[in-house]
Amino acid sequence: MTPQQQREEVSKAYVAAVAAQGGFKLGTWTQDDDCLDVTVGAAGTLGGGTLAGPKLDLQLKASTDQGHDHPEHIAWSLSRAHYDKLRHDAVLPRLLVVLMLPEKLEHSVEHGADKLVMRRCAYWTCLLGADAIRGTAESTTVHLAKANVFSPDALKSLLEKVSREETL
Amino acid sequence: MKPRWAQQAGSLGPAVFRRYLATAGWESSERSKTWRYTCDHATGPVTVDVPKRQEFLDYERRVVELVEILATVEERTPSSVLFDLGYPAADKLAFRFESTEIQSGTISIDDAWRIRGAQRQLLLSAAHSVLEPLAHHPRLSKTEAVEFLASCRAAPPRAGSYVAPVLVPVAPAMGQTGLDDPFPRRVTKLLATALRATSDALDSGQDELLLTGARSGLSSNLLGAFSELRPPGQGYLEVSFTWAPGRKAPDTPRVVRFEHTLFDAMAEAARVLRETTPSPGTTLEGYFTKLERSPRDTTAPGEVALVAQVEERPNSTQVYMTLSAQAYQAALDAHGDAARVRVTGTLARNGRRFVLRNPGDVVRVLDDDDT
Repeated sequence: MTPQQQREEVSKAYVAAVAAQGGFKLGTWTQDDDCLDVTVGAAGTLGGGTLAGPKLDLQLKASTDQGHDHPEHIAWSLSRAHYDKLRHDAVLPRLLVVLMLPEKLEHSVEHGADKLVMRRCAYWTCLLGADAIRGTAESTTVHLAKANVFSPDALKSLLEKVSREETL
Repeated sequence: MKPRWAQQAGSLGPAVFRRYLATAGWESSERSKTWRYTCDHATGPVTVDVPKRQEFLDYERRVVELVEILATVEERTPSSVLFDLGYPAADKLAFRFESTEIQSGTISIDDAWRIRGAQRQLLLSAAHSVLEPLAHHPRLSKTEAVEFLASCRAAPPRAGSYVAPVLVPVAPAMGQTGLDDPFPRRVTKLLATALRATSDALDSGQDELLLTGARSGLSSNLLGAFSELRPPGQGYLEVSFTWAPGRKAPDTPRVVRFEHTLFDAMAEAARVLRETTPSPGTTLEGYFTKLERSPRDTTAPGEVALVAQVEERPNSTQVYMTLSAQAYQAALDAHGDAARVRVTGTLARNGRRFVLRNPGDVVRVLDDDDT
């Protein structure tokens, strides 16, 4: 397995663990724009909403490059095409989720008889309706606020908003 | 991984899915970005969402999910669901052949040719039976039936076992008018009924029931055509009907299956019906070979035998008939001149003999008639 494949599998495991902890189901993983894609959903309505079976599409990236990591945000570069896709209106809300892994990949997961630890954390952002890239630049850098941790509670809160048909 | 048919699904607009679901009885409600459809399933209520606009970035992905759910609910492959979505205004007849000689979904060219020819005859036979339920149609040439056949489409064979689909365009219903179904739907409905009757008779070992089912569409023509649909080698044929969603589905079985051992019985029933059913309005052309009448009474009718081509028989056959005195004289004259003649009547069997009942006038066939 290549290091990139390893990062991808670890990031899938992260999302699966977060979703499972919240009792949410994951769809089938696909690959799109060099990102791993998956739909996560819940049964029934949530958070007093009226939309049953709320779902989100996640576009997942992972990196061990600490250069992305800033005090208040994660900086992530997107191609123009990819950025425009994430801005575009869609049936389901679409999140960019970036998992920051330890610099040494082998530190990502620690296993013992009493625990299984996955290190570091993923952050999310929703670019729906964001401004277009100006001029002829072929890429842009987006900031994923560190307040937007991709955690079981955060995922639940996001799905509740979807069920209430609110903007994320 | 995206399924291979994803792009095809994404090319279908929201209206295609909505019409399909509505006709299948799904209940709809409107959300901000989708129409939501629900139905009751054995495992519980099922919900699908149809995006309102094809411009949504994830439209293709969402309709792929929708098709996959439909495939699960309807217990068939996503490809077959997609096929039906693409041809909504048609009854779809799928002839699925499964046998030891079908490899990778392919069959011999000869078998493919045979199957398509038999499908053609099957539809034409059923159409004629809708117009007039006979045990044997002497000719399959009625205009409405022929025009119906011209409207039917052969769809491309599908993967898996060999599947040769046929599409029968059926116009969607317009309100509750109480009018009869259009002709194409009456044909496919009769065909479904006829196939079920055939299957029931053969499965129960009551083959003779095939001889008394004209009102159910069982004619020599249909049974003969169906016997030509035998699977290559040992196996079975499964015929399934998917009804056009724009019109209420008939209450007939959706799928009928025939093991390869049953096709000989169909062929035999076809033969018996063909040879024992009188065929009115049959015109025969040939030469008189026997003429018998009492020499003492030239005003009496006479018995003659005409050597003619009878239906699908490879060689000419003697057909016996009783002619009126006048017709007998014409026959005598024609025989003397070695002239070819034409006579019309009801062709029937009398034991092993062909007879022409109620023959009309004896008409000489002129040389020009042959061109």
